[in-house]
Amino acid sequence: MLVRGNVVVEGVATGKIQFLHMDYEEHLRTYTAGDTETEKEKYQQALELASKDLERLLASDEGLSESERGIMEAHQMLLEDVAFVEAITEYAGSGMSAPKAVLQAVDDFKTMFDAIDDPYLRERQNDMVDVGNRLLRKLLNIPEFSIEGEDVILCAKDIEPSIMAGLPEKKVKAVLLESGSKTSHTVIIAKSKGFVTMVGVELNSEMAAQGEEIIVDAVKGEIFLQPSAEQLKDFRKQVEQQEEEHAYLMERAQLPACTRDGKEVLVAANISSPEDMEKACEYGCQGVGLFRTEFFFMASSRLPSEEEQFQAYKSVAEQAKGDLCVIRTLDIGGDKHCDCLQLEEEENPFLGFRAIRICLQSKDMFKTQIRAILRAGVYGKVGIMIPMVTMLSEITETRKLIEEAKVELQAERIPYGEDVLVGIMVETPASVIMAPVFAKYVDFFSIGTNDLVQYTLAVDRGNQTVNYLYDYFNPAVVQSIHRVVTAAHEAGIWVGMCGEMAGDRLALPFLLAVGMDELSMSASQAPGVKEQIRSLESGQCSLEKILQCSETEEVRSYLKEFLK
Amino acid sequence: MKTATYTVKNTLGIHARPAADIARFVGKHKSEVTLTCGSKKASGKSVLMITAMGAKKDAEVTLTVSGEDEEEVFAHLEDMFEHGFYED
Repeated sequence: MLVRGNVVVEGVATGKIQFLHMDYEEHLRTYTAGDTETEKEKYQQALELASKDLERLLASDEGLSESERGIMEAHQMLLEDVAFVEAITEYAGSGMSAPKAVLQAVDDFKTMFDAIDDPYLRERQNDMVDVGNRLLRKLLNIPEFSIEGEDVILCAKDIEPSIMAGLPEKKVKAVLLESGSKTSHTVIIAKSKGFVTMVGVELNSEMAAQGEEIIVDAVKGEIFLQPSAEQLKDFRKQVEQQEEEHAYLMERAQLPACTRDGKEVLVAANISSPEDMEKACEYGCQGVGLFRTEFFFMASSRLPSEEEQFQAYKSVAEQAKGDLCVIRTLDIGGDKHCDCLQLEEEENPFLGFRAIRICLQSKDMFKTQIRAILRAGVYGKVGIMIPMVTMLSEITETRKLIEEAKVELQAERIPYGEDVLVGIMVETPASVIMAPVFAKYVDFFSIGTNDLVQYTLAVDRGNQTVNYLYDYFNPAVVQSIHRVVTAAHEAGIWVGMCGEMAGDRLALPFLLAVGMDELSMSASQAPGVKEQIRSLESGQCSLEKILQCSETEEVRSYLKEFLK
Repeated sequence: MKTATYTVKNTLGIHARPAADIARFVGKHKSEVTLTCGSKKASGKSVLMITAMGAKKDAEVTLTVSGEDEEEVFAHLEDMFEHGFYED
């Protein structure tokens, strides 16, 4: 039987399926409360047990990363916080059952934090819930989850971040979640732990029994239940190969990516939150080529404050340890919705009100982001990148706002980075055509292939009927890239690429030949791409030949020669 | 009992880090410590409550310390406030 899902972390895995149920409601219904003293007593016991669990978790050497450790420590502090303890004790003393008292106190604090503009407190809301649940498990006698045996494939509706953080990396091979979000806190932790992960997976214990062997192909997004012996053998071999290759690449991940003729290409990371930096550094990424800041805006019902943004950008800049971090200003609209900006439905959202167009209409919001980025510039090397540019005025207006922000910061005596770079995403045909002009007004270009292909070929990749046309090897796209790189180099600025093409093995010989200075991709791709760069000569692929191709397939078949 | 009012000096105000510093210190001592900022009151032992006061730069915070080791506790907290929690 075949089940499909959305891939979050690529890879293949075989193992025994283990379901994780955390049904608090069922247990709450059947809970019988004692008198107030008993309930208070029960809470005290639960608190002690929960606190010991956390202590054990922190003391054990279960490969906790810095960010996981931070979360656990925060939980411990919250669990034992006097105000939290007092609130629960008071509720229990007033006749509430212990579990209800916990839930009520969690709710109170969540509401209280909501009213305050502090990124720490907002993050703590989720942690509050986690901590409450930990207490509930103790009160309701729900056993703490433990991994049974080796080679486990974990399947759940959703998993609390703290539980995900505690999963042993050596035993868990893959995680399958029913909840759909690719950006939830839990998924971020799964990514940083490197679990093969899929979301949107609908799988229950009627389809496969606990402990049954299954196959997860998180390259194609497929899960095989009750696989044949042959399928298993085949996938086990793939898993083995994957592990060997991974180990080899990781050993070499920190080495620079120099072609055989000695030309270095920077390999940077695409990230969406400060938490991604840990993995980016581990995988040998040299700074950040694209920080998608939509994350903050989409995660909340109100606009993130300057302080909140500043803390995030600062954290990224610091973790990059002197390498450049390119922060893209808000790129919302199109297929990306956001509750905190009331955007109207549009008939043609990709050709409508999005990205820099929104920012230049909401200058206060834009300036808040610019100020936060400038301030982060004190803590590392930072660049501002403007998305969806079609006109020079969009650059000059943004530059004017940046200057205004600097004057303001100076007047307020708030330190900011003097030498923050300003660049644009080249992702519209207009910016390709105007590249020689735009290059005089910016410090760098970064080619965003995803949108560039869509706009150049006038094709919606989400539309099944026409998405066969969507291809970055189309000669129109290839020529556009060549034009942009040439324009950048003539103006003496550097040019990078941050779309999917940048991490494509087939595209790499062309990207080297055309002279790309930087390639930015999701961290897990970086070690492989770096290794491939080291195996090639920069001029191995003939630019002339590629530019003469008149068909997509011609480009592809020429490039395939270099994969052999 | 000792009490005094301070103006928050550091740029970020009493955010998570200083709050945790205060709570950790107070937790290790015997005195009762209360902080007041506007209409909000916090126990000196609770990071949650201290942060939830939302005391920004230039806000006025009243500190009250009482207990057998109040001299020592007060002096240390005063030093933290006077130096903007050693942040800027």
